[in-house]
Amino acid sequence: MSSILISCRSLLAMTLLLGVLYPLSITVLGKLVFPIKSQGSLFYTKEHIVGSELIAQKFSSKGYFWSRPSAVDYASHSAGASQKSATSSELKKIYQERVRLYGAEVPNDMIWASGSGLDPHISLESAKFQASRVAEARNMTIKELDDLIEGLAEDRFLGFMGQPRVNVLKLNRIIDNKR
Amino acid sequence: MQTEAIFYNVFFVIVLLSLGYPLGLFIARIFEGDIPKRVSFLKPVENLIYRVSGINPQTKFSAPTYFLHLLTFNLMGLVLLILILMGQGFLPLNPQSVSGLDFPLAFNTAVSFITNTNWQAYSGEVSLSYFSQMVGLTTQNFLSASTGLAVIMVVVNGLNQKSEKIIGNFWVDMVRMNLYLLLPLACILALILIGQGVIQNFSPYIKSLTLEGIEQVIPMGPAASQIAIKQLGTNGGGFFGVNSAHPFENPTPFSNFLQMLSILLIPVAQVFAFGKLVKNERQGFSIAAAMSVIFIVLLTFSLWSEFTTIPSWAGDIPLEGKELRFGTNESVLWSVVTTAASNGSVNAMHSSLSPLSGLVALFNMMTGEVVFGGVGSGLYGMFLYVILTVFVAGLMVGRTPEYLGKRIEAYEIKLAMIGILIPSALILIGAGVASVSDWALSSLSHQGPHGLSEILYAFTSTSGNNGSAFAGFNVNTPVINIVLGLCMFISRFIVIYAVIMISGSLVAKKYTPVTAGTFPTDSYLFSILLIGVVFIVGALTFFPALTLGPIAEHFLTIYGITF
Repeated sequence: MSSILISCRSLLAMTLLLGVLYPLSITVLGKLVFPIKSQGSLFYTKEHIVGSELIAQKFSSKGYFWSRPSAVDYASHSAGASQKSATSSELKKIYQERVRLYGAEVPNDMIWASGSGLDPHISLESAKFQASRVAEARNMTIKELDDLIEGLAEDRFLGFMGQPRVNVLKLNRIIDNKR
Repeated sequence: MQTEAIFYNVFFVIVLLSLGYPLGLFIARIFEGDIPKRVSFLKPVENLIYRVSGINPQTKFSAPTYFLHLLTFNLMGLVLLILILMGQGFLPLNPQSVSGLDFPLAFNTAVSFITNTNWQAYSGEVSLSYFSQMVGLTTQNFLSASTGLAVIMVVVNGLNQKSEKIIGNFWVDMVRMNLYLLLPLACILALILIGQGVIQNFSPYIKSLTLEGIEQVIPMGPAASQIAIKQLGTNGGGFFGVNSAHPFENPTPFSNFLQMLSILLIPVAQVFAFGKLVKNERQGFSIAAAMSVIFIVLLTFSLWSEFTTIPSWAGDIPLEGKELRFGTNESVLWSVVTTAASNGSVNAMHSSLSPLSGLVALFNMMTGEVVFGGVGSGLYGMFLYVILTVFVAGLMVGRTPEYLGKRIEAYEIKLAMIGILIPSALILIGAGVASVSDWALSSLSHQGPHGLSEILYAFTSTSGNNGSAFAGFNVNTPVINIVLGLCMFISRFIVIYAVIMISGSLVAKKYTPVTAGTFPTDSYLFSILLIGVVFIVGALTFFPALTLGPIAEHFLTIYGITF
């Protein structure tokens, strides 16, 4: 019996410490030290929120760079992946459709859906691969776009962690502002 | 493979071992009650918790009583968590007005979090309120990890003390591990993660208008505080459904590195702590050496598979289910790390990895996650293999086996076998029954061998208290929730029971002095034998199932056959 009583009392004490005090203090500290990042790295215009630097958006018009494919059609409130293996005929079909859409020269990251469905980055190759389409739609030169891509490119952290990449939303916001 | 990848993996292992050793000494001091200066300012909090909970820190329990207290505490946690999850619709901090979970899902989720499994049949951002995530789940992330660590202390006491009946005080072990180890580390990690972009707030979900004018709903919440302990406590339950693949949960390559490091940090440290506590650090080194070798072998095999298995219909390594910022190497490394430990968080979808990389993840979990393993559970799981290894060594030379001066006899071996075989039986019998039952087959998302792998993975992950998934398999059905919930509960507490009872038997034994005939357990020879026993037990038990699942799928993938 004593073990039940101690269990209940210590459970409440530990819940107060670890489930209430700890997350609340981290929230307060986080907001003080990292006011933008703790709130989701959001982008604003004068009127509304445009999105988050970290969350991919759906782009389908020719004048924008497109994000990596998303198995959940960029449903940011319910992220997800295809979960398909290489022996899935569905995956093979989707793969072949994407290759048909982009052409055989398409970089690898543009034909496979990401893990979160919200991958905010594409590879530099994928950005440059799309540059001609965007340049044509926007009356810009490919050189101009390539320079923008190079300027925004994020390299591997410390030279060996992660992959070189470019943030699609940031890139599209810049070309929007160029107009 | 690129040079960066090789450099990355070597760097990871070196940083891990060099941080693990000093942390191990730190953990050993906490266990001995010699609280290190850096955290000793929390002493008044420790005493306060004892006072409000009615704990007498001086009491010591026998092994059965220790287990009883541990189990009661966990059961109370289970009940409280079920109540929170079912009642979240009436509780505060619920800006999205989500309603309570139904009983099977609440039961499954609650068992999952008290057993340190963190199997997720729900998706956090869709189904849970901030209250449930924070008060319910974050708390159990800590408590289940400290429960595991407490069991390590039982093992140590069982080996250290001579001719005693008492084994320790669960409450003291549990409170101290939370207060002096998990909480400080979680605070540091949570803040660094926020600095990388992990969110931490209580805002309602944000409505935005994309550049193309589409409405977008961006989920919010107190994520960083939960993610920090989910990794450090080898829990693995994501704040969001896609876990550490979600950019809000794991935004940069650096946050990815830190999270992987945190998964294995305490599991590595506890092995060194063990050596220190049994007063022969080489005992810890020999176990750590065995674990490191298995880890490196499995990692190399998994990487080889992922970088060379290209389906004949595709032009390059599939990036399906992987995030670009991590790439292939860091996705595969994570999959090995998270299943070596009983963590189960993912940064890439395991179901879409190459079949043999999936096999490595399965094998890690099938052997009980003893390659460093879970916080507490990795080392106490390996302790069962250690008992088995000294027994096998004893048979070879025809002598009663001893471990650290304690004779290993029939009773200990029986319990060790129960601890190793019951989870294996749950996996094989469970997956076997499921693969001919409609309630499981109707949840499959693949035909062919991958379908079998989905079922096998679900039973392995839950019975191994891992929590990662081949997530195409729809597990949120009432029957599956209850069945897998039972698998998690039984295997967690059977193994803990076996370990505590073995220790309770050892603690009563006299010390047998070391003689020329004693098989030394602090040698490389012992490490090699231990590796052999882990591989042989794992392979003998699971090879047929693995052949029908991932191995068959490997060949089908190479030839481009689809279903």
